[in-house]
Amino acid sequence: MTRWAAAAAAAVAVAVALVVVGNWERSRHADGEVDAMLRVLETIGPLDGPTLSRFRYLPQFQCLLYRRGSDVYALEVCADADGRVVEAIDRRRTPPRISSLREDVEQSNVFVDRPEVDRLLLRLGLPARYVRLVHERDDA
Amino acid sequence: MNRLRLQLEGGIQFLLAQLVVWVGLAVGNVYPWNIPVGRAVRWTVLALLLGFALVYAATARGALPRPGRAAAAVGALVGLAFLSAAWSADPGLTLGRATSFAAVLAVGASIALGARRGSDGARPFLLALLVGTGFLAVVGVLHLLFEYDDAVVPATRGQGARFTGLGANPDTLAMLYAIVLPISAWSIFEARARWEKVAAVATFLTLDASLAGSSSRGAIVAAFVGLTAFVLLVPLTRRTRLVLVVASLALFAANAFAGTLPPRAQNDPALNEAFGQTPPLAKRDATHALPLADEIGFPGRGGSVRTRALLDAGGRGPAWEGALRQAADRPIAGYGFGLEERVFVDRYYPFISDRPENSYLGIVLQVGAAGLLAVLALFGVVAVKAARALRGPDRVVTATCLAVVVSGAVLALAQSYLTSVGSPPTVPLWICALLLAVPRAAPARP
Repeated sequence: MTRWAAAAAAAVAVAVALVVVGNWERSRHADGEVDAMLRVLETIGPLDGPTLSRFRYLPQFQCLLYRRGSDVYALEVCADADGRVVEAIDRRRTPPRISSLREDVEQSNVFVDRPEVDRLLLRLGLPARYVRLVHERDDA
Repeated sequence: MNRLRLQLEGGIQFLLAQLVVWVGLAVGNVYPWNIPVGRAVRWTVLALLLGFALVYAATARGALPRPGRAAAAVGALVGLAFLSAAWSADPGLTLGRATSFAAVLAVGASIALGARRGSDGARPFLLALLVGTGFLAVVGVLHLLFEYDDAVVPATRGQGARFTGLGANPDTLAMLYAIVLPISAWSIFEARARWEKVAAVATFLTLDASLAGSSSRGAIVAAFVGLTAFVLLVPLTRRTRLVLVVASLALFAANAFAGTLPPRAQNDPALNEAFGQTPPLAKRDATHALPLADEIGFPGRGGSVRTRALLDAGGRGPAWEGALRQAADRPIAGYGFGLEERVFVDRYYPFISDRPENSYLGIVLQVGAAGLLAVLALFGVVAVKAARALRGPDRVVTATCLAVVVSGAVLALAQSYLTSVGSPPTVPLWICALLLAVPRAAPARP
């Protein structure tokens, strides 16, 4: 085997190893974030529970916040227009535990009932046109 | 040298200056030259430049140098950028950005190969980088005269007014001015005719004044390091070298001090009522009280104002910690080339950026430890080749390119730009790095 062939074979081996490692890291990271999001959802309990306190509206996702003790921002869960949970935050500790798949939303397999989220957003005072806008943007 | 190659050289010189200008305009504040025009034109210019550069390299007489460590290092970095599409959340974006980055490296390598048999080595191309940058700086000053509100970021309670010129923010073009200042110093060094000297000094002063006015501290430090490296590396008498090192230090102090002169405002400026405010959407809107972008360290509405001190890093510390934690989740291969601003989430007060503002962290986020290793290996190869070339006949040009690379490496500690072709300092940095990576055989200037 010549030097060039050996170098080419080594490069291909490294490339294959990197693809395997890259995809393994991607799914391991996603699993970790999904587990943490599920824990926050579990702690929250039913989305329409009595501790529902605030909402957050961003173009790419919307969030519901829940009170724990005097902290009205203690727990937060964020979902996109399909109801896919993309971020969850537990602020009962410092620094807050943030689990997020914003950069890779397709990797999240955690869903909440989106119509229920919309209903709760409206109940918290979000004007209806903003809820419509979420779904119009998603359709577009 | 035949006529075709001279024409190619002239064309490359013109297109290289154009590329610097259009990349700068594309991230500028002057509509419509920024988004609708600049962002399209810069890619056209890059494509044309790549075509010219490839022909220039192909028509160089004599054998091409054998691919060595430099080619391997460039190949590894570019290969990794493309390969990362296999694990990227957005393969299309990764491939697009890897292509533009590869094009810039190909332009640099082709120019360096062609310049081995060029009319004046690397000089025409350094001059092109300087002319493009000088144009942006001069038009930035004119912008200040005619559109003051666009050319200056107004004072707030936290910091004084900052000059932004044509840039989208004060740092945008200050980065370019910082790493091109060693080329500007070189032009003074090599100017022969009186008009050349006057033009070279005027360009240097315009670039430095724009940099000082921007109060962009990372860029000011990078300029100082670059200029000092230039002075230490060019052939000078010991006494002249000492005087110039002291002058470089004095210039650094003056640039840093200039940023402290503009007074802070009593009240924050009123933003545009139509789109400059974030009013709460309802009484229970959490964003108004606790914005996600300020989650870590937010003092609350009406809380204490963070003032920008001379040695303040602009809130980078917590942002870097956060970026490192994100990088640790996918440490070896990263999230995918070109996804830095998509992966990094600014949750840190008072930090304001969609990137961590550290190129090395940005590279780790994009392509993991493997990518950082590839970049450091490339810089290492460039440093070794430059150290050898400094003993050769073209020491002044080598010193200039090395000073640009050193300045760029320092700037990368405070700004995210190394792999973003759309960032103004990226093209000059990589052109200079590749001019160093390919051994030259340029004739001495008459």
